[in-house]
Amino acid sequence: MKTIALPNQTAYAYIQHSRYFQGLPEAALHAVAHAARWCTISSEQYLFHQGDPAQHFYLLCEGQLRLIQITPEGKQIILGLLSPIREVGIVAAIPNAEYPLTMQCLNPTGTLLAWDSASLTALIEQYPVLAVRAMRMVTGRFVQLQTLYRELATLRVEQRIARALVRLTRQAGVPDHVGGTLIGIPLSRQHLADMTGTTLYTVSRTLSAWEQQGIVTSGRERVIVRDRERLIAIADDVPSSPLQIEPPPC
Amino acid sequence: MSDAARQPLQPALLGPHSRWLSVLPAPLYQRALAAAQPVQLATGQLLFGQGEPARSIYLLGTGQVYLFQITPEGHQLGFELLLPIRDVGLIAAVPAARYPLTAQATQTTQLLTWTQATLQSLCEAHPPLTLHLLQLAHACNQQLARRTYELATLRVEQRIARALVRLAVQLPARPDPATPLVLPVTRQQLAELTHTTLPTVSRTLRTWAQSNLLTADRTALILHDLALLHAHAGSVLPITDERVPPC
Repeated sequence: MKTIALPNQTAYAYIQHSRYFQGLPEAALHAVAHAARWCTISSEQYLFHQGDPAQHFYLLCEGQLRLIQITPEGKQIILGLLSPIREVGIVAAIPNAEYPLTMQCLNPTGTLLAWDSASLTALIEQYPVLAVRAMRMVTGRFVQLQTLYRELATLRVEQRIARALVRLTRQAGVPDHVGGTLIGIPLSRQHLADMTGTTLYTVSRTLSAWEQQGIVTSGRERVIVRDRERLIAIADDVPSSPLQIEPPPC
Repeated sequence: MSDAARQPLQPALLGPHSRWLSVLPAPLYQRALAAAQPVQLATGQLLFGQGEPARSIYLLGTGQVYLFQITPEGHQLGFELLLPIRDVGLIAAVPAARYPLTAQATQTTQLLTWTQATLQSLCEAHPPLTLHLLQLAHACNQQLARRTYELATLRVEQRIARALVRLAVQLPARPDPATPLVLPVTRQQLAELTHTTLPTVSRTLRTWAQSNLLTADRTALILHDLALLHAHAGSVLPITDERVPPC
């Protein structure tokens, strides 16, 4: 990760439009911009790893980040993707906290604004609304995790796989030239099995059945959704939890 | 109703066990204790319902509270059985938030409660409390992420063992470790907590009873061998975060 120099004016514009800082008085926004540093991260590089001490809070301004959870056995589970403008790493406000997830840069480069823990804490102490918003972000993750938990407990495996694919097309879908949507991140069947709490065998069987029905095409680390309506119909079979959830950030 | 449930709660005895109260400096701690209101619930009464505005934070003093989600299809999805002394309803620290779960008393239950306004005024008087609440909310998330992972990867037998261990570690310390532990949980609750069926729970408990791990009757389980239960629970994941509020 590199620190770069960009005009303060640009930082101010991003900060003003972020959900975390928006609505603060102008003087406060300037103080926030003043405390920020610009940094860039290149493709495949990690912003931080799960378990690292949470020392920085970021605002993703350009590029995309992949959220990865590392299981106790060392498996990687992709939880989703983040696109600008998004806050990342609010846990840096918590003394001695660790990042609960790994964040990896996906696009050629990512540009972020960064605040160290001390600056973030000072801002929170000075502007109580930031404390309330931090609490809302952390408890918001609880609600998102709860949805995933409920889906795992109550939905059939093919509904879970359909939901994972629908969400990934929303987050990283790239239209192909024949009316399908390519999921624009490398996605193996094992990844999909880990994301949905099932086995490689079940994912393969499900994708093969869907391929025969013209719903998806899949290859090595590639999934193209051909018939999004039918996939959504499978995912939404029960009027259950909302399909539109944001990936739980941290 | 037990004798403990008939006596009024003594905030001074409960306070030190709360994960957030105990971080307050002495004068504020006293102010907070004085602001606590007692609540008593009969068996089956709801403390709060999923989706209701979260206006109070609670400290469970005596009795038992069952936390569950209700799915859009109306099923009950067990989350945790809480035994004293535990904080619950942390989300009330967030203005305009809603309770993410339903909390129901499964015995006569007594709690202390603080309003959101009290909590806010304590945060204003002592800003580090805010960061501490944030830390607890983060710990809640970590706990839930781990539970999700358990559900995705562990065998049902391991999940049942973990649900029982979670309950066992909440029981007060015994003077003699050889005394059997009485776990106040029904088979139905155990099935809901581990997302399996009643027959699977019954079958598992029967097998364990045959190996003298426990004895089961209609309303309680008597645990004879906590160490053996730990072995069934698997060792990859830590089982509990001590006294972290469930939500």
